[in-house]
Amino acid sequence: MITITNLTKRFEDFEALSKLDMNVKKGSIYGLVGTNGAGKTTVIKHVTGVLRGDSGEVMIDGEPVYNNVSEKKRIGYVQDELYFLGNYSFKEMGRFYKNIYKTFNEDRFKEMVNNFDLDLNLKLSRFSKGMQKQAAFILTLCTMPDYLILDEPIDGLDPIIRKLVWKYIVKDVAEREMTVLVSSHNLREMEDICDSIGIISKGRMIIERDLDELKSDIHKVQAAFKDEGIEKEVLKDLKVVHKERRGSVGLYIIRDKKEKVEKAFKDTNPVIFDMLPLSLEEIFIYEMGGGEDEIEAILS
Amino acid sequence: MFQLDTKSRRTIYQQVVDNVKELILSGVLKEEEQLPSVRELSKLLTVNPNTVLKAYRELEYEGYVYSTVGQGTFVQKRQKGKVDEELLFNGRQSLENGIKELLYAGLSEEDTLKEVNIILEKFRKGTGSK
Amino acid sequence: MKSKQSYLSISSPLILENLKRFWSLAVLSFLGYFVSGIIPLFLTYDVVEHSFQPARYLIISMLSNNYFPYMALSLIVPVIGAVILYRFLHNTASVTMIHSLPLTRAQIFNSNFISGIVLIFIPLILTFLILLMMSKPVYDNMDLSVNLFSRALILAWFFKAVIINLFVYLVSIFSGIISGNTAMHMFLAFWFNFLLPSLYGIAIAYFNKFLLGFDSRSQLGDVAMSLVPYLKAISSQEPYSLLLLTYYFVLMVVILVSSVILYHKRKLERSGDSLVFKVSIIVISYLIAFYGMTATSFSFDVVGAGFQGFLKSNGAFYLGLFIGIFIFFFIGRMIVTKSTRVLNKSGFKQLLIYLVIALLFVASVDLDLTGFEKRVPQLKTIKQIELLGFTSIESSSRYDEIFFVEGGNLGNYNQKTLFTEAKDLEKLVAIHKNMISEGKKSNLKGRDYRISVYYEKNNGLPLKRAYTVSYEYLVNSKEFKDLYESKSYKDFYSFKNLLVKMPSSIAFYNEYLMDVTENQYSYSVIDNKDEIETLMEALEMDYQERTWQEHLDNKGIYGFIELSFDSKELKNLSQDNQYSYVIREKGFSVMNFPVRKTDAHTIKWMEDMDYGETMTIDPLDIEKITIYNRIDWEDGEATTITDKEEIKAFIDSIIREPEDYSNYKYGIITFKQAAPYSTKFYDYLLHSRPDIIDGASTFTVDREIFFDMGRS
Repeated sequence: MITITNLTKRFEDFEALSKLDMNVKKGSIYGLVGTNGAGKTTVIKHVTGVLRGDSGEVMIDGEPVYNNVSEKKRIGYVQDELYFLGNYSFKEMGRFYKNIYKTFNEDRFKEMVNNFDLDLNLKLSRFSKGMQKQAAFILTLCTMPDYLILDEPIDGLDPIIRKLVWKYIVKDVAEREMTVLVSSHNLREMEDICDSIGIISKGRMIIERDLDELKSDIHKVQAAFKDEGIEKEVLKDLKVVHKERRGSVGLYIIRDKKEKVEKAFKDTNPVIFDMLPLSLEEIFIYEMGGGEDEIEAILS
Repeated sequence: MFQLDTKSRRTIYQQVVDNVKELILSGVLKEEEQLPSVRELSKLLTVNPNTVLKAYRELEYEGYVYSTVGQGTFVQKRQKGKVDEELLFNGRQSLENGIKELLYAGLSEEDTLKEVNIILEKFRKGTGSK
Repeated sequence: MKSKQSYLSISSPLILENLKRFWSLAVLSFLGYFVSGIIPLFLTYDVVEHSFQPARYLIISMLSNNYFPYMALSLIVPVIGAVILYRFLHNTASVTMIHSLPLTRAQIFNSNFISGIVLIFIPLILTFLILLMMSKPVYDNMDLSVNLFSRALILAWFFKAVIINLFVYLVSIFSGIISGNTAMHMFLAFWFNFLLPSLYGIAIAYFNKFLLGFDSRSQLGDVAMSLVPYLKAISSQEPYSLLLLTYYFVLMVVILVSSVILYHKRKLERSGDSLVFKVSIIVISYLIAFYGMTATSFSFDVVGAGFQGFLKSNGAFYLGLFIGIFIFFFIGRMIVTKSTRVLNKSGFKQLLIYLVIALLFVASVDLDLTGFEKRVPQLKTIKQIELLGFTSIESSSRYDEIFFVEGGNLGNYNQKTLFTEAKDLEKLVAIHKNMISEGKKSNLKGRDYRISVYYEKNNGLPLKRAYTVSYEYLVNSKEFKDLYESKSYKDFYSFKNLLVKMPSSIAFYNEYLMDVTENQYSYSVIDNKDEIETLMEALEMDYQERTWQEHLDNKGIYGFIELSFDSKELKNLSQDNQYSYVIREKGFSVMNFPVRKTDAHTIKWMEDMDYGETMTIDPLDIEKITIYNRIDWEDGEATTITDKEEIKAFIDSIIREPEDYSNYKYGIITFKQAAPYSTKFYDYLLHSRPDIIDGASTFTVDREIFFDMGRS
């Protein structure tokens, strides 16, 4: 598992990470989520041993990652900004990875190249951006990593390829208990695939939960009461994150146990009562404090 | 086995649980029949194995399946007569919502009851799944 | 894992990949060495041993690390090697990728380092091997036992080339580690290779300007060049001394270790910025300001010298200094921060700090805070003093140490004037104090002479000073006169101290009876032993009797003497010099000096032996003299003189070099063309007398001849 404790990192005067904690359980698919500039890539660079924190610890299976070859060789990292050596063709890059990572799987490499329909002999610089991402993914996955770290992996890939990518990832997680740490803005996709979520904001970990638990703790309620006064009663003991009125119907985002919420509302016999789970996207937006109004304010 | 609805509001986990339940209830999955392993199902559906694992655990907890170490997960023998309180509550809620909508759609009470029977019939016969 | 092992670990896959990617550097470099050096040699291989073949000079130049293409390669290839191998540090994507690989930082650094070594040195080694194979006897003109193309010399070249390339490579790597992008890397790599010598040279410039008595000549050349192997190799053929090698080795180790340490400390996220370490931003912007302010201050100073008053006395210099500081500090800052927004609070703060430092430095030199100028050692602490410049007043090789000192070098003509006797030391200290109080007086009208005083104290420490004094000062100096006419001084260059007592031949000529374009000389040679002996006696007597004023007088020149010493004999005496370059550097073994009109003994000898004609100009031979009145460096009107008496007067007033440039005339002598002159003239190059001088044209001596009007 990946354990980060109290990690602080400063770039000049800017504190990119502030006493950040993170825990990724073995065999899980962990989604790292945050606004732009929140520190996702910085965290990832610490996990992959590229950066060294000013204070705090970054460990994999109990051992610090930095400059640790025995740990780093188990990590596969697909960067956001891709880099391939010189003028290498896909094949040459494969050979490079094979020489550096003793665990490189040639058969899988051939198979994946085939499945993704990429040209081994073409120079990687001539690939389109999307294909470069695919190539990077293939190269990394063929090193059979125990830990797969993906920074914005699927942006720019078409839906078919995306599905193929997830298929491979899920296969490895299922078969080899590979641990995956993925950072993305595509929350809808993350929602489907991740089992744990970490929300970062301004260098701090704000929420880190099992995805289902996260979802079960926050609810969207649409209700209409016969009487306005009742609303106040109902909401009195509940953690209301957000409140809106749409005509005669009220929209409430409540962070509380499902049963408590249900009971509170049902006890008052509302005219309309609808409790819906929130999508990860919605959870993110509300946790970040940006309701629809706020976003509108930014956009307008 | 079954399809996941990516647009649905229900979580993947919830869908897996519900779908397996439906398969069991409708008789597609018979008693003592082995379910696909976590690995297999996750690969099949392109779903996080942890999710499948959780779903299987939930099903086991609710008594639909049981698992043996090293062997797999199997459909539980159904004990007739036992009624799950929470499921009952949920079921009632859903039924209420469903009936409300049928009524709003313009069906008469009689026709609504007919719909209920049709559905029951479906489960009795054990044909197909959604 | 901080074990010693891990600091030396490498990653062979990484090395192999680097070689695969960058092999073209090695190929191009080898081609460079091959095409510019080996091929020309190969094409002229059969005739290369013949004298005057260009290939000979090619060999000499190549093997003495003087050959431009090879030296260019030795600088460019290691720099480029370092740049391409450490480029991954200068781009966020690449630095992330490389450092996320399962390699320790030590492995990354070492692997790239070794890859560079391979790429840089394989071409050199190949060239070395090819040269070894091509080695064959090519003999030195001067000394037939010296092979210019020997294996030993090739090995010596290779050894130096290795050190040079290694040094440049290490400095370039260091530059790469502290830079954040490739442009800055290349800039620093080239600059830092010459940083030490240039800083040294700049410091010398300040000392030279402000400190009276500062001897830049002894400090500058040799020491500055020795600071880095590249410059040392270019400027001197000597092999690196053990001391120098140790210094280079230590310096290289320091650079390498610093690079390793800084690499481990380097914040990878700063790739893309121009400089990675905050300290280096300050240091480099300060350095740029330092260079810049020096350039402007000295330029202003040169301009200011043309004015009077404030500007003349260092005012211009300081004005330039301030302007330079302002401009170049901010330019430097712009370069290192890669932004034009430097005129901000932090920028001005740094400027202030720099201003203080710079002013402290310059002021401490200007005000001579260390008491440099007035320092004269106590008599009792002095072991010996060398006085130089005494003899250079007379432009000749009369005092060259090659003739007096075993193993001496041509050009070092003053090493022997070493005084150790107490009474002499007293005189010298007095001279020194006198020169200090004379101060710096720039003499625009006449010539300046440079007198150097080198103390060696009893404790072994040296003190070196050099002063520029005017002709007037020297002529009127009682102390100098005293010293010159003393026995201890005359002893130094007496002929009885010659290494080879008798020359094998003596030639004499009159410099003014020479037509430069036709190479016609009035020239006589004697090789009769008795004649040589008697002439040498006469010369020695004149030397011993010569007064200080006569020595300084370079006007009354009667003619010139050339003593030819057998170079084989000279060489035998310095057999411990194994290196042929030394013998080459010694040049001709000919001692050449003027005969003064006051050298009574020599002149008498000439006339008794009937050689006087060679040396003197007979007014009857002259058709006319054309005089130009030079005013402010421009030729004025021309006057022609044909009267015999006037011509004679002019002939008597010929001087070699005017003391006072405002009081001389410049002229051209036109000789009457006549047959008898064929016996008098001698073709120096062809070593023969011309048979006929063309009857139709007029024979002219078209040389600039100075006539001292004060005399006539």
